[in-house]
Amino acid sequence: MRSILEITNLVKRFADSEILHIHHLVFHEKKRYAFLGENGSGKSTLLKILAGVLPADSGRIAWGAKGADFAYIPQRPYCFHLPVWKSITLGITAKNKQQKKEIAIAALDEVGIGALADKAEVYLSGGESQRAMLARVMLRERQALLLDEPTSAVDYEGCVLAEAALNKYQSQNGCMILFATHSVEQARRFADEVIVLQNGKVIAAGSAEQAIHDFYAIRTGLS
Amino acid sequence: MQTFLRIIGLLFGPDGELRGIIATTLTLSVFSTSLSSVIGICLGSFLGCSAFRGKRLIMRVLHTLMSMPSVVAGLIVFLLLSRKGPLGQFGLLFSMPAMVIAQVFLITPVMIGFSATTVAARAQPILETTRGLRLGKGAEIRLILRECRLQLLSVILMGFGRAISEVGAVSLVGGNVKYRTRVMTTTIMLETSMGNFDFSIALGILLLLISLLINSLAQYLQERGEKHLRNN
Ligand SMILES: Nc1ncnc2c1ncn2[C@@H]1O[C@H](COP(=O)(O)OP(=O)(O)O)[C@@H](O)[C@H]1O
Ligand SMILES: [Mg+2]
Repeated sequence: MRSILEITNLVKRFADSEILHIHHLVFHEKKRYAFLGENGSGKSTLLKILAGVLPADSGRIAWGAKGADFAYIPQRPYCFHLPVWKSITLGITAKNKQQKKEIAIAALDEVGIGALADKAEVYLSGGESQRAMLARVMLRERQALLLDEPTSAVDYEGCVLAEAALNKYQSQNGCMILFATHSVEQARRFADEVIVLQNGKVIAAGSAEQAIHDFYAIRTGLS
Repeated sequence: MQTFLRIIGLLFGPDGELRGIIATTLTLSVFSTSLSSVIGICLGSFLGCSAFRGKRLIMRVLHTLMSMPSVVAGLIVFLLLSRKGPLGQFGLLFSMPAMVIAQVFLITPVMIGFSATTVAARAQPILETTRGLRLGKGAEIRLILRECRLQLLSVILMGFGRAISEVGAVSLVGGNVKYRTRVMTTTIMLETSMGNFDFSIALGILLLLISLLINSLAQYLQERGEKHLRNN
């Protein structure tokens, strides 16, 4: 399996305190990775650095042959003063407006909010807007998806729908999916591999079952 | 009541002086506001969404310029344009272009400052989102300006308000020349000093009415924009 992304000795400091220190991680195509960790463990900081919206202080991020071909959803994405269908098709080319709207509605249907296509994005609820953001990235053919707590406000049924849609997207284009979550359940359910972060460091990594087991062991002081 | 009738008489009567003064005032304010809006919003948006060394110093200078008294702006432009000044050869002093230059000099820093604050408040999350989708620089700028457009409209209105109400700069570099550079505010100064209070009051009321008209128009545009969005 080809590797898509490799991180080496990545360090980020805020006001002289080290928020993130990752020694080495490799990510492969067609796989799903979860960054699991409590609030403040550094998940968002790491994803921001990978997405290139925050500079690292030192270290190396090496994307594979196709380069940095990713789509990223920030933890708090901006909601535009635009109808949802227009917002999610930003940067997408289509024959005409009608076709663009159809593409958008199909993508929104996948995550269960096709009926909201004409609503202004700013007026969506938290969960609705997260679903729209997922529809937006899945309209793009990318080698990697970087998702920062993409379903933290989505209800259970919505999560199931969203995960199914991501599944379909991935099986079609073989991309790598990297998502942050604080939910052990979601990590167990959706990830192939789990990377547990604590205070900006990787404290466990490996297959979902193994990493989660280690995570609990460390937490309860049994290790 | 008598004052009111007099205004009507002057506005629509055979003597075109008042109409001329209003026309000069509007031409001046529209020109200087347009120019400083373009400069101010461009530079302000750039400042608002970028971080670089020396930005703090620039912001401090900008904030100082924002509280520049209009006579000081007038004085500086006066010195630049006067016959012995560096730009004296163009013979612009006491003309409409001189007044436009002085007002642009006065208003642009305010426009830059407020645009920068407006844009800075929204740029970060917008940029994170647009860069996450890799929409490209052009789309980024377009979306930021679009998302800030109602606030930027207020910035433009504030600039217009400052331009139309300002008296120090225009009287210094314009010279209050009858039929040419005489505007509403400088006329009020002149008429009041000659004891023509009625005329001054009439002009004052007219100035306020113009402001009311423009702000109503802007409010209408803003509300229409929001309504359009909500109806969907
Ligand atoms: N711009 C910043 N300045 C200072 N501290 C920050 C900044 N951004 C994040 N942090 C700190 O870094 C730590 C990790 O944050 P974050 O990556 O957002 O955590 P997570 O996403 O895992 O909840 C937190 O303690 C947070 O307070
Ligand atoms: Mg986070």
